Amino acid sequence: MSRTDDHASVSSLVELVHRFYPAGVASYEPEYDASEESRRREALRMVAIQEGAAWEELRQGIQETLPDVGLWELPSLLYHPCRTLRAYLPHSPRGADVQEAVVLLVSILAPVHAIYASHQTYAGNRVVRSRTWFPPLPPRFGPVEARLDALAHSMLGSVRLPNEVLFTPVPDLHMEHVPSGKAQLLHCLFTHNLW
Amino acid sequence: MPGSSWRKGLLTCLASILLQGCGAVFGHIPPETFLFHEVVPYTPPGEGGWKVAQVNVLLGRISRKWPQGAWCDVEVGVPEVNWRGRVYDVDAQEACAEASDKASRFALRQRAATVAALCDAYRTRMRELLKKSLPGAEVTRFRTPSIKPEKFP
Repeated sequence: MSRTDDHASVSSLVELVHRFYPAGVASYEPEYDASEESRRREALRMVAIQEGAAWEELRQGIQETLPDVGLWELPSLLYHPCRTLRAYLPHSPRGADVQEAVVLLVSILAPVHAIYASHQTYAGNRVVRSRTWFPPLPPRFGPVEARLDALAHSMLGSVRLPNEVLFTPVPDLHMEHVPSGKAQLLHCLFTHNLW
Repeated sequence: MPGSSWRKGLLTCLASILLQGCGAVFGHIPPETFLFHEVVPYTPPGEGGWKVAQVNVLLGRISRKWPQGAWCDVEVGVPEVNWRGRVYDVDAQEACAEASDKASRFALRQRAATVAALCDAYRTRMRELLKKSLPGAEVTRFRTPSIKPEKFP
């Protein structure tokens, strides 16, 4: 499950994200968006928004392989350099008070993906309990986790990043909503919006 | 004790006056200010759609250095339908207005060094507050093109 290869090593990924985020510049400063790094990232994001054929095939593959799982794709590419698919477990149908999903994040900056588990308990329209798990996921998420990982690897050729890579600090890079100095590869390659 | 009670009251009052002096907030933002526009259409069953609202908010006076107040741009994006059900505009608007009021008070207390840093603190707090009412919401600077932002006040 924790496959790594050359292009997914910590050092190469840290080097890579520095090509896409300006070091030492706060995300709210005008220089941030104007930087060469941000422009490079935005250009990739625009291309990815236009090109979704492989991703669409993956979605169909997941739906065929896991017919009891409910899929919800969020348009995270509007904001983040990743695609996001939430795969709701069979005991979490639409509208349920308790919702549990395995979330697949696929980066557009490198051929890598991340998988985590998510739980929300609702009372009315408000979330009264929310938590996420990175591996090891509780056993009930296991079968969906394994299928998502296998399909993402076989259909997109991407590699799943283990926790020690995802949580690698990149303190000189800044992301909106991430406290200064606390950015990790997870935020840079995928998103901070984890729920 | 009665003595400690009036002292506590006086301290609270003084603290309140000091805070007002450091950063005033311009009343409550009306929920309808967060006017949502469809960005991604809702196409069941797999896609939940997406809509955004953009508002220029005058947070208030940060300090005596900026007596004119600080304008912050905020864009809120939410799904048309989440896994719980439809996200009605009226509910999203109420959640945004409540979060904006609280976030602006919070941000003004942070003594930010610049307007940009103040606005960043405001948006970050707003996003935190929206987690329970609008899970998955995105709170950013203006980034969706071709939307006419609303303004408050």
